[in-house]
Amino acid sequence: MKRTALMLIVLLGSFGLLSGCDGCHRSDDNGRSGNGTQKKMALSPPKGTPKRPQGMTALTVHGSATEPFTKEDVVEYFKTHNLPKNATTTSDFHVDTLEFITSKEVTARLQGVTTGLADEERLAFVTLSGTFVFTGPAQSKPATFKRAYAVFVASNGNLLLLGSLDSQRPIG
Amino acid sequence: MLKNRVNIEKIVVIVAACLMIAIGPQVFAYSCGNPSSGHCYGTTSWSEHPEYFGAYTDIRETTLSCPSGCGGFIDDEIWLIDTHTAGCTTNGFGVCWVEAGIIAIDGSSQVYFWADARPMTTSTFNLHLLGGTDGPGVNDHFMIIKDARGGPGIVQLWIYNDGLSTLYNGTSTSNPMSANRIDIGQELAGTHGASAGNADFTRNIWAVQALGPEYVFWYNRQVHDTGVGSANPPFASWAVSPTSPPPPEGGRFTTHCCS
Repeated sequence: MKRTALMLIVLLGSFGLLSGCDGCHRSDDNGRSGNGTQKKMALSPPKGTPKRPQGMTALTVHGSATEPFTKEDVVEYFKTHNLPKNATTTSDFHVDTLEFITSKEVTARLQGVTTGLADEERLAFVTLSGTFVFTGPAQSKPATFKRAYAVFVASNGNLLLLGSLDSQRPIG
Repeated sequence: MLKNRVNIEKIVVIVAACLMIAIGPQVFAYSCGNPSSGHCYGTTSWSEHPEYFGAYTDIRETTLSCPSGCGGFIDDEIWLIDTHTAGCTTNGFGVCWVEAGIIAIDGSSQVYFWADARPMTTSTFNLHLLGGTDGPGVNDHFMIIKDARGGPGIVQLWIYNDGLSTLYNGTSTSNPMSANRIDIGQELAGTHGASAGNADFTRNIWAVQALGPEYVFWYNRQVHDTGVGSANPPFASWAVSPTSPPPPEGGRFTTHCCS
């Protein structure tokens, strides 16, 4: 009877040790090497064809294919809609220009900024003047700019891309 | 006796209804819209390593709302940040970054977005609006990594879900930043009206090397929980500390707003 009980204790103890070691092993696999630093783990970035960026609903297309909306349409839009992430108000800036150009030309004008669209896709490139304030992550400084841009998709009027044009710091 | 009791019950119901009308729905005010003071954040931050080659988190989507007139936006996102390179400390913001997340902008439905601030004198800040989100409860993946496969100054990012029915890719160019900080959490801008349910950030990991031809995000998990900053609102905290062994890798950070 005593022997059976002893065998049972040894058996249960072995299970306990095994499960403990299993935990240690998984912990190692999950990042800890013997010296306490993590082993590097692998994660594959996604593969496949990315979706076409849609942008955000903004302008109504009503004109011709060559000019689906006008500068006046853009002016009206920015009377009631601020430039996203801009901390000043719509009365602090105005629309300067509207041009319909290709995605490739937008990238060239913006020092390599990608649009996510095909090179030949037509976009509305809008320049704005006034005062713009954009903010970054916590503890960064809000930055003030005098010129900004907005890019709309010509085919549907969606707002796709926006940002600053000049810089706070003196150039040259 | 019975009639009195019925009358008292009626009065209680009427008073309760009046209180509900008077109290709710509340529009909570906050001060996160001053151009000079910037926005409000509920974030956690890591800066223990000299360089973070990339950053990754899973965000369980919640409903973000910033009704027309809220004066700003609310988002859940991840930032990869350079606070020390010369071109970044002088770009107006004092930092370079690449960020990706989900945002609700004044009067608009929530969309996926990404943005960068580069060490440049023109086109420094650029915000990309990608399209409508999957919806509450979906676990979205946000991956940002320096890309060493081509020339210098390229950072790739992906926003995707498990089935890849959502898969956006962005490329930050002319951006030779050397990131020494990662933030995750919520940013709030404006003065009133925004709201956000509980968003969970899990699988908080960072790239230990740049993306190479083998096309692998080599990573370690985050193991520190000391960088929390919560402006209340937004409200942010660790639900599961990243100091605990996985799962989940890198703990579970949670945010909500604004009451």
